Amino acid sequence: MNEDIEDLFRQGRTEPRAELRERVLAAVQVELQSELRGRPDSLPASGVRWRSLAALAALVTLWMHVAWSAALHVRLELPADSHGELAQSAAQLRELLPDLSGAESRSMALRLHLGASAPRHGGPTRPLTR
Amino acid sequence: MDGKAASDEDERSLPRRLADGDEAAFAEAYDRYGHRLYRTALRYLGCGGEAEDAVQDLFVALVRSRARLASVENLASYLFVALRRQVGRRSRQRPRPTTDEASDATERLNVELARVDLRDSLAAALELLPPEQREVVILKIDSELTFDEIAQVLDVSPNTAASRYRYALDKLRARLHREEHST
Repeated sequence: MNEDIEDLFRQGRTEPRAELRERVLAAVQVELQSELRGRPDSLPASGVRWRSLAALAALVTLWMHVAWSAALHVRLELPADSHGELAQSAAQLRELLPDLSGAESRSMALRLHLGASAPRHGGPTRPLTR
Repeated sequence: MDGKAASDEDERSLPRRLADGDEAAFAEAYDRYGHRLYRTALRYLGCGGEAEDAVQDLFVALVRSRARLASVENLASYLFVALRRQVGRRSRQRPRPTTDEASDATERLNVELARVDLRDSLAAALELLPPEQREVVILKIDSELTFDEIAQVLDVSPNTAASRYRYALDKLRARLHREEHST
């Protein structure tokens, strides 16, 4: 009994027009050819773009690595003989500005001291003195 | 090697040749599956022009994603899964009928059943089946797939595909029987 229904369906089938084959294969041919044409032009372009991005990423990574290493290995310490000068500067600052707390005056003295000891272009390093 | 064995070998190597971008392989794929794909698309979409477009789009998509074909074991299942996707995309792009329009369409089909001949009645009765049963009938009869292949396309077990087909044919037969006795 299944066969009768299946046969009825088969009899009612609509087949594609003969032109569909040509149309589909022409579209396939166009697509294949456009890919072949596009490949030599587009691949180097995208290759160059990816290489540039990879180089930039490598540079950024290297820079971060160097900066991180430098930050880990540089010790920001005052010379041993500077502590007396620093305390003296802080005291002087507190005399000038009595509202400053001890911590603020020490911090400000430290900044002044570091600023004064930083090497300057074209001139000798001068310690902070009165 | 006899003709049948050579043909089987050709069919097995077809996905690999398609993946390589062999133009003759696409012609062979059309000759093997083009009619079945068209009939199936026509049954889903109900419009010859749209069915032709769907088959053409499917082959163009096949060219673009042909690298995947190298690992395909059952090309028929792969093609009908892809066709289903194409058809689904086209159906979604169509304006949806309102509930009233949908029930009008069902009513029109019922009226049509009373006056057209048996073959047309069968086609109209197919439209009235639940979608999952209708789909199995289309894939079995128009697409000429095996239950194993239908199972792959619909992502169900072969037993489920077979039982849906059986229920669908029972319903179609009962409807046609009613038609015969009412006329």
